Amino acid sequence: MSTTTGRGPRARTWPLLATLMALAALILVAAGCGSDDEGGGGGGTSGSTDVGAADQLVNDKSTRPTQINQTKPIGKEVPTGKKITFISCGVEACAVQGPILKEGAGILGWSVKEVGTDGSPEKVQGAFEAAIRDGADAVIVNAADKDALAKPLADAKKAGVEFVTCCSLAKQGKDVLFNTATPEQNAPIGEMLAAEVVKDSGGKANALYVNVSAFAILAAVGDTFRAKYKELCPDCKSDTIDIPLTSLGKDAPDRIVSYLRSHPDVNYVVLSESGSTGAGLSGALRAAGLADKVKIVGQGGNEAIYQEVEAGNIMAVVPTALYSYDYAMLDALARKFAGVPVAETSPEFWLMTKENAPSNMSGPAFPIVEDYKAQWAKLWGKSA
Amino acid sequence: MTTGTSGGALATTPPQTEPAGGPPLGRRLAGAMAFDKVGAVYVWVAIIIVFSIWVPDTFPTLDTAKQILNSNAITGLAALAITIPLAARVFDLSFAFVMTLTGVAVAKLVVGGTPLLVAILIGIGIGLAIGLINATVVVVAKIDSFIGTLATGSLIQALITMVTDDTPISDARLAGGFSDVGQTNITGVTLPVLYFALVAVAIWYLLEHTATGRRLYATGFNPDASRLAGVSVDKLRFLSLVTSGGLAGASGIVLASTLGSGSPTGGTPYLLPAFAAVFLGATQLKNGRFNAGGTIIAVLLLGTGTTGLALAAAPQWSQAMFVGVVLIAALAVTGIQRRTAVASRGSGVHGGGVSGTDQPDVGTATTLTDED
Repeated sequence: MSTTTGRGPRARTWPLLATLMALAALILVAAGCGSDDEGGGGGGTSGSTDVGAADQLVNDKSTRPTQINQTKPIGKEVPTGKKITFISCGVEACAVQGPILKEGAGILGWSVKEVGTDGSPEKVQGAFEAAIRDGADAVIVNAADKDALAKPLADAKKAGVEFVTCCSLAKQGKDVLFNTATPEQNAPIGEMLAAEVVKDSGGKANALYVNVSAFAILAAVGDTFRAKYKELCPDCKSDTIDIPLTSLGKDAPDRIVSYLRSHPDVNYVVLSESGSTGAGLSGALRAAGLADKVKIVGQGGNEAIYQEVEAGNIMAVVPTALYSYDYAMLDALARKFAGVPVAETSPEFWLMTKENAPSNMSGPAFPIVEDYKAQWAKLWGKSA
Repeated sequence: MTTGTSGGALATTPPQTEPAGGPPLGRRLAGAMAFDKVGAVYVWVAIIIVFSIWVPDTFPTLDTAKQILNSNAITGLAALAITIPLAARVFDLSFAFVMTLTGVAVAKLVVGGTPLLVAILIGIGIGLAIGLINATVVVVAKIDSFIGTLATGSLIQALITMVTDDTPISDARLAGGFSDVGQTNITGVTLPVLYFALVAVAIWYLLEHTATGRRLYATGFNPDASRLAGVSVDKLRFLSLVTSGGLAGASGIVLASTLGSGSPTGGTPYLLPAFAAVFLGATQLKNGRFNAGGTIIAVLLLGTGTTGLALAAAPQWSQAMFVGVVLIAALAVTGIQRRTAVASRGSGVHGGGVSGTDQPDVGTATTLTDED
C-alpha cells in the first residue's frame, strides 16, 4: 500500500480541479438539456377525444391480412436463369432476408448469391462492384444509402445491372429501379400505434415515443404517430426520447425506465423499432416495479418480441413485413426482365396482439400473408 | 519496491518511520479517505447532491439506488473480468466477444433442449477455453496482448456469426429458467447485482489477501524484477487470461439471460464501458493498481451519473460526454499526482517519505499501454 505524504499544495489542488471539471460537465449538460428537451411536445390543446375513430382504425387493422397488396399480374413470360446478388449488411434483418430472397428467386427460376458484409459503405461498395464484374443481372442492398453508392450505381447503370432496395430513403429513378418499405409506405404504422394507444386508454393516454433517430427511415412513423395521436385525442399527452445507436442492446431499457420514473404519469411506451429498443425492456420494467403501470406497443420486432406479445408483456406490435419486402423487390425485377412496367405496391401491415397472434411464429420472421408464395407465384405466372 | 519471498509471498517492507503496529487508527482512516485515494467517492457524493437538487422528486430515492445497481451490474461484471489480467499488465480485448459467444451458445443449447445447468457449465467452459487460447497466444506465442486478444476477438466474432448467422437466438424456451438467471429480482434488486458483488469480493480477496494477488501486482509492475524474485510471471499471466475468459463467459450468460435471447452483438457494447470503469477504478483505493474495490466505485460513479442524467431527461449525448469527462479527469489527475509525487520525492520536499511499496503504483493505469 502506498502512503504518499508530503505533497505540495499544487498536487492537492488537482483533485479539486478534477471534481470541478466533472461537475462543470454536468452543468454544461444541464444547460444543453434546457435547450434540447421536449422535442415531442405535449398534448394540451383541449378538444374532443375520438375513441370511436381509434376503435374503428384498430378494428380495421387487427385482422391478419390474407391478401398481398400487389394484385397486378405480370402478364408476360418472366425469363429464368437470372443471377441476383444480395449484399447482406451484417444485421439481423439482412441475415433473415437472404433465405427469403432465395426462396422467392427459386420460384422464378433465378439464383441468389448472398454476399456478407459488415454494412460499412466501403464493404458494400466493394461487394457491389464485385457483383457487377461477376455478371450479376441485378443487385439488392437493404437500406441503401444512394449517395454512398453513387459510383457503383453509375457503374451498374452502364453495365445494365438492375438495382432494387428496401427500407431506404432513396427515390426510385434512373439508378434505382424499385424501393419498398419507404418512409411514405411506413407512415400508416404510426397511425395504427396511435389508434391502439388511444383506444386502449379510453382517451386517457400519456405516451412516450421511443425514437432511434439513426433509423431515418422510421422518422415518418414518429410523425404520423404524433399527428394521429393528437387528432384522435387532443388532450392526451405525449413526449419523445431519442435512443442513441450505442445504447441499443445495452442501456436502452434503462434509459426508458429512467424516463418513466421521472414521468410517473406516462402509461404507454411506443417503440419505433421494437427489436432493438425492446430487448430486455419488460425485465427492466418488472425490476423497476413499472410493469403493471405502463403498456408497450411498437413497430417491427423479432422472435423474442413476438414471444413477449404472446406472453402479454407487450400489448401490440406491427410486425415487420420482411417477406413482403423481399417478394416485392423480386416482383419489380421480374416485371423489368419481362419487359413490363414496374407496378407499385406496399407492404402489408397489421396490429398483432396476444389475441390475434398466429401460433406458428417460430423463426426470426414470419410472413404476414400466410399463402404469400402461391399468390406471388400466380402473379408471376409460375407455380409455387 | 522491496520484494522478497517471505513465506512464499512477495513481502512488502513497512515504512521505517512508522511505529510497530502501524499508525494510529485516526491517521489510517484519514489516509484511507484522502482525496487521492478515494477521490471518486467525493465526486460521487457531489454528483448525488447535484442530482438530488436537480431532480428532487425521483433521484434521491431507494428506487434510483436499485436502478443504478440493476443497470450497471453487467458492466461491473465485465469490468471485473478484465481486472485480473490488467493487474498482471495483460490486456484482454476479446472479453466482449467472449460475452457474446457464451450468451448465444448457451441460448442455442437451451433452445436445443440441453438442461439449463449443463448449458451454463458448457458456456463457462467455452469462456475458459477461449481464455486458454488467449493465454497461449499471449504467453506461449509471446504475441503482444493488445494485438493477440484483438486477433482472437476477431476469430470469436467469426464463430459468433457461424453459430447465429447474425440473427438473435430467441425461443419460448428461453423465457423460463434461462431468463430467471438474469431477470429474477429480490425486492427490486436483480440477481446480476448479487453476482457482481460475489465476484468483486472474490477478486478483492485474491488481489489483497493472497500471495497470488501480490505476485500478480508484482508481475504487472515489473515482470523482470518479479521473475528474478522467483515469481512465475508467465504462469500468472497465463492464468489471468484463463480467468478473464471464464468470468467474461459467465458475464455473457447473465447478459443473454437479462436480454432473454442470445444476441449476436450483445457483448460488444460493453467493451469501452468496462475498460472505462476498470481504468477509473485503478485511480481509486490503490493509487494506480487495478483493484476490485476501485472498480466497484467507478461503476457506481459512472452509473449514478448516467442514471441521474437520464432521470433529468438530459439530451442523449450527455451520458457519453459525462463518462468521457470523468475518465479523462480521473486519469489526468492520477498522472499528475504521480509526477508530483516523484518530483517531490526527488527533491526531498516531503518529510514523510514515500514508502518502499509505493513504486508499483507509479503510473500503472496511465502508462500501461506505453509499457506493455
